[in-house]
Amino acid sequence: MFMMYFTIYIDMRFIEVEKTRYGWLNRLLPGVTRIFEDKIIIVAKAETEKIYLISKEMYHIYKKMEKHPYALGFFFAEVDGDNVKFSLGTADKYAKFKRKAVVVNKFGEEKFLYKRNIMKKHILRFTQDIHQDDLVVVVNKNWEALGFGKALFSSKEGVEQQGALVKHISDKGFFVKH
Amino acid sequence: MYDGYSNFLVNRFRKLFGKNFEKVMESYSKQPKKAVRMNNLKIKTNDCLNRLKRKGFRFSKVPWADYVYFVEKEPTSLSATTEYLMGYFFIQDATSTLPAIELNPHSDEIVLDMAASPGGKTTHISQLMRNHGVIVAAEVNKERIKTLLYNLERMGVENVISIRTDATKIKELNLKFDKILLDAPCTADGTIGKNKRLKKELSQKLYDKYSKKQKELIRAAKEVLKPGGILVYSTCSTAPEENEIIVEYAVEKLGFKLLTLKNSRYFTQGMPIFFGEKHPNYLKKCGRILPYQYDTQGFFVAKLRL
Repeated sequence: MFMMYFTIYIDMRFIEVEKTRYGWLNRLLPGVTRIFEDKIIIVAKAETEKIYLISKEMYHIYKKMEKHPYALGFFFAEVDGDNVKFSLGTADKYAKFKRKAVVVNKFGEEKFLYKRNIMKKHILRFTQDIHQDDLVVVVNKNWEALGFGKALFSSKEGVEQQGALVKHISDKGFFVKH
Repeated sequence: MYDGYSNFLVNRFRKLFGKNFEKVMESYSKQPKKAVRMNNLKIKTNDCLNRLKRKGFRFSKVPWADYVYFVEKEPTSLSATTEYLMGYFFIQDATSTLPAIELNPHSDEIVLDMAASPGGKTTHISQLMRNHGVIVAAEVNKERIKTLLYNLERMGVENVISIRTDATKIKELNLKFDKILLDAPCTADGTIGKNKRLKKELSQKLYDKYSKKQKELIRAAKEVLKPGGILVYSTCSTAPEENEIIVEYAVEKLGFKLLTLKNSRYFTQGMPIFFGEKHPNYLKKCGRILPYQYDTQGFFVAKLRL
């Protein structure tokens, strides 16, 4: 159940809830807007839109500030037109929902953290809700999020095919490279 | 005899450290010990230690915190471990954990970190606040603020507002803070062990330049601190010009009161006499970590109330 949301642009334009936007995010990653619960959504608009989630307490401080922040609270995603790039922090939170997830072994973990795709030999198991081309969260055997990928298989049909089964999108190796 | 050092620095350290001079110089000939702070926002200390121990790492606890450890054995790079990527720990000099501990932030407070990047102290403050309350993290440099943001994300920190600003202009935010951490930009002369170029580069002109900047910053801090609020001032320098002189300025000119450090037993007392000049005795309440005490960098901390 969602609490009251409102979206605030950092250039100080206040707009009402766009429910279609949430629907769209949930289509990409079912249930992801559960992360919004009890949070206020702030959108920083520049060339792209960066979505941040903040506490009510932070919102009060933010409102008093006479200078725009560079970033604030929890960075949820970056939206560029029709493309959305969920943050690695969102991967952490989404992994806890145990949906759209591919669990990989140690070897797969190492490969994925070096931007490689996931092959059959890397997969330990996967949730039963994956369709071809879905966005999936890739986790290790401890269910710790490694990043996001695109499923090239469906859980119904299984993973008998050769070649890549999850195409790499983003991974936490980023934190070392930067 | 003292390889790579300028005569200026050798003479200066000899006067400053007196009977401890040789021990200081010996420490600066070695790399300081690496340390890790376990991130209790994401994992229990023992769980993380056990995972790393199974990979061959060995640790020993620092005396002042039960979640900060020296790295005694590092079979592979710590930053290449899954635990690092998951944000289960932050690699930092052990002394750099002291300012946040002295600040003792609470989860209902608003805290300012005046020179935040790369985020070691900001993420530590957040950990102590259990990701509640609000931290305003100021950083002027665009590249450094990106590093700060990556570290906030990695460590799961959600209570930070990052501001790109010169900290001397922090008043423009129109906010007042319960607590402020001013880990001031400094000559970093306490880091000679890892930054060998400093042996030649440090000069009296540089010490004076930083001293002037630090006074500006502490003045700016005073303007945004609530009455009764706490300011922790720290540097990775051992120079009185960047430390005791700044604290004396804060007390005598800005109306701060110098407080006793909670962890004073781990520090060498501040210096009321240096370079032949006598200064107020209360400066003993400041704390200096000399590099040979714990095989770390040299460091300085003072705690002030407005």
